Amino acid sequence: MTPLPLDTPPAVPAWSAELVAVYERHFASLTRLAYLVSGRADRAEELVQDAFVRTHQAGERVRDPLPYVRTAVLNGCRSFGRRQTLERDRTPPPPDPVPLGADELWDALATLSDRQRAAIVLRFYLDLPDAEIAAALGCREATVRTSVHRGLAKLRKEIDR
Amino acid sequence: MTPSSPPPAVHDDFEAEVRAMLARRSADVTPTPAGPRREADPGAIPSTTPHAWAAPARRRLVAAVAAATLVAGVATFAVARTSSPTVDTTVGTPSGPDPIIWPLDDGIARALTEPGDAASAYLSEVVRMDPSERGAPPVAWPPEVDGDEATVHYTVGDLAGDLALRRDGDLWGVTSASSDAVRIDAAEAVDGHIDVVVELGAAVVEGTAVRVSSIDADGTAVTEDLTGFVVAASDGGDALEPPSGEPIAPDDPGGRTFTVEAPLGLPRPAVAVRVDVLRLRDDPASPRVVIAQASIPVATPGSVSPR
Repeated sequence: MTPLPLDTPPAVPAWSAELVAVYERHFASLTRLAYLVSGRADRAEELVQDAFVRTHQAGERVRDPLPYVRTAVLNGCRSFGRRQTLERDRTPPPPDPVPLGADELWDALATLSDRQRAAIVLRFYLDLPDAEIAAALGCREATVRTSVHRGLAKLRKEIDR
Repeated sequence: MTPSSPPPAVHDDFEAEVRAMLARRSADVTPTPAGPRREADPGAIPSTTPHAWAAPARRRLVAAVAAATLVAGVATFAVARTSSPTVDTTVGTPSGPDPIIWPLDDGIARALTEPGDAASAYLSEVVRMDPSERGAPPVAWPPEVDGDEATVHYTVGDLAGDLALRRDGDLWGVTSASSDAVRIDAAEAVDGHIDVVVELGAAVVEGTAVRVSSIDADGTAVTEDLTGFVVAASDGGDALEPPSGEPIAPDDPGGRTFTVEAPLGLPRPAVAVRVDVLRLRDDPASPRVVIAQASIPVATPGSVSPR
């Protein structure tokens, strides 16, 4: 019997076939979702990769991987946004490598709260119904409608300035 | 999950403009999946930093434990509850377990080794509804325990509510509270304050006001003030109290969902928000009476979940 080297890492369970299928099918759209919600093209793929890892780590608790990953992406965006806020006073954020043209509405999107922005993106980019948006954001449908309504009102206000 | 399904009816040109902008900007990124990773990038998402409990403030410990014993005694006579709790105690969500928002005082926490004790202490220490207002003292029903989480249903007269609790080591604490009269659906830091989405029940009628408090990691209510009035006038049309807020309007016409603002809690960031519904006073010298209460955690810049 050949002894194992002492530094052999512990075995990591493989991803389920269902999660791999979600990864292959939805990685691109989830990355775009992460970008639209976080506003950071350079971190979008990382946020999605981490969301998949967390879904994998959750194991059998996840009955339906796609909604779980989607919520994990949104949570990651929110956590990232909070950390950006904390770091803003210490160091200026690095420039986004994506060349951006003038886009007043896109700039206005950055003024929304995390929940309003996510609700707007889920409604008008993914075309999700209120129930699925509510599940993704962990709130009730009435709050989704409130967030979309208030988000649109604030966008209008920013554009009119 | 692609935006290929037929879009819902466009209500106006602005919504169409938003939709077009999002579709256009989504092309800014060209995802290149590198294959599934096995571990999260520790630099991508900050982990929750364990945080020692706040320095003990023992002045309320004796009262809390005594109150817990008293209310728990009442609960002993309660009949087992058969209806389902309304507090969402779903486990395994991507964001992990909800943080404990009470007690944030380790002196009190050490005494709460049972969920029923924690619930009863919370009712007497935080909710603090006047029994005479409801015609009965608070009754905490036997906890429904599911692993490290529990739900406790309570009643105060004709008002019913639920407390969600979680075990941290050997100790129990409250993660959220709601009632038939008031429920907090969401709380989010934005633009220097906290947006709190509140659903008011039918019990919140004329002559009541909403007060929002931000709670910091020491358990201190950082700011507490009347945020708005459901109806600010008495039957005769006179103001019941000098209003420090504006009448609040529902988010949807005729609805019961309101968005109110709470302070971020500076200089110490808030870790939870609490909404009290109070009966306004005819006599400004008399104390305000809390008729319903709800609390949930909130994440704010710089805040660290204590437990």
